[in-house]
Amino acid sequence: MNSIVTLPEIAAKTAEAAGVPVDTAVRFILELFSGAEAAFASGSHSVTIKGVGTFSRGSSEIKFTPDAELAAAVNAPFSLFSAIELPDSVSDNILPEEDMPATPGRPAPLQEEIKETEIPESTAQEPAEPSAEDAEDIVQEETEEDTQAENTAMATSMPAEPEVIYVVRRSAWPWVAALIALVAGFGAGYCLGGYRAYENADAATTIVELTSQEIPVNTAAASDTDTIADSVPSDTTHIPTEQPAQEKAPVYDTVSPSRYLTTIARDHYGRKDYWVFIYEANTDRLNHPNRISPGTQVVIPDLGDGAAANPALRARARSLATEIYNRYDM
Amino acid sequence: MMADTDNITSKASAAAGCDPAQGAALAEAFAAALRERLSMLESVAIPGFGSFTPVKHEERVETDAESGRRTLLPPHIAVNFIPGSKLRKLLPNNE
Repeated sequence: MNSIVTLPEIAAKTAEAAGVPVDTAVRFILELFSGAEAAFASGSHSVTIKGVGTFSRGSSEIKFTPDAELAAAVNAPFSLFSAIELPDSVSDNILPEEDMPATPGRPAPLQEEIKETEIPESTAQEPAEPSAEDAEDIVQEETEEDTQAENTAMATSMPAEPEVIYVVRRSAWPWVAALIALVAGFGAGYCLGGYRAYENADAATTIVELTSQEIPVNTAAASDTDTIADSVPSDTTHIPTEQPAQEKAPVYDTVSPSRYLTTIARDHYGRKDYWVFIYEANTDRLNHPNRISPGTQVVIPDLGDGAAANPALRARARSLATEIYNRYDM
Repeated sequence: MMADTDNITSKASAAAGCDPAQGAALAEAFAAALRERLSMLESVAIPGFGSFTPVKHEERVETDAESGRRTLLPPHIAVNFIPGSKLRKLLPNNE
């Protein structure tokens, strides 16, 4: 949208150039155009104001033809350009098409002829057709005019090139590799965690050899106590070896390929490392703790209630395990 | 019938209280100011008479209907005139 210059503004410029007061310039300009208006009113069909142009009265409109000097001054930026004839090899699609109104002094564009001519398809991607309103908006930017003028000149000398659109594709391989590493990490952590839990609870029963052996059924409490007393060093005061007033019936369990001493200890005491107590209670029938044949029946010594949480029993279990390992050089 | 520009200029000088020389200078200065403003793509409004608006036309291809020759016309700026209310009233269809 063009900015509008009001009468006082242009009168000020006129007064400055003519060396007269501003109000004089205002009066002069108003009287100048009032004279033209009066000429029309008196029947004149055209009025010419020097330096401005010619106003021609039609039936329903007033046509304006700018003064030659005015038209040249306004089109000074395009004075270096001239009309050129296009060769047949140049397509019309190089220019954006627009509907241009007929201007005074120039013939109306041959729109019908332009539309009827077959325009060959061009591989170049053309911008969208601007409307007449868009054309007026473009007027404000002189740099765009220069660019278009250059494009016009280039279009006549070289064929249009197709636009090249560069697409940056992101590789998915880094994401796939990260996902695989994540899954592998979870799996390794799961396996390692399970192994370490197993290792902490049971380090002595990793190897089991299957051999057959008869198991005498007897009261293993007394023999267990003796056995424990023989093989276990001092400090047995914390071990509840004393039988309660009312003797409980001995508890037995059987070693199998899926139930080692550690498994049996976990089931009875809640802790795998209490297998040492079972072993010590059955030394008469057990030899190497890692070579217990399936089917071997062992007595489960009574450690009392809350044995799993008893810190003394835990410490005792650790020391017994060390002793047993040393006994068999494990 | 065509109105004489000099006649209009002299009448305007007299009405503004200027001598003919000053009138000519004012007319020339006004034309220069008008060229300057229109060259800057600014519209000039004369109250009651109308406004002058520059409009840029892009380059276009014009085809000769007879020969079929295509001519690339350079861009240009046209000065459009929009008559004011007083002037429109003088048109035959508006009387």
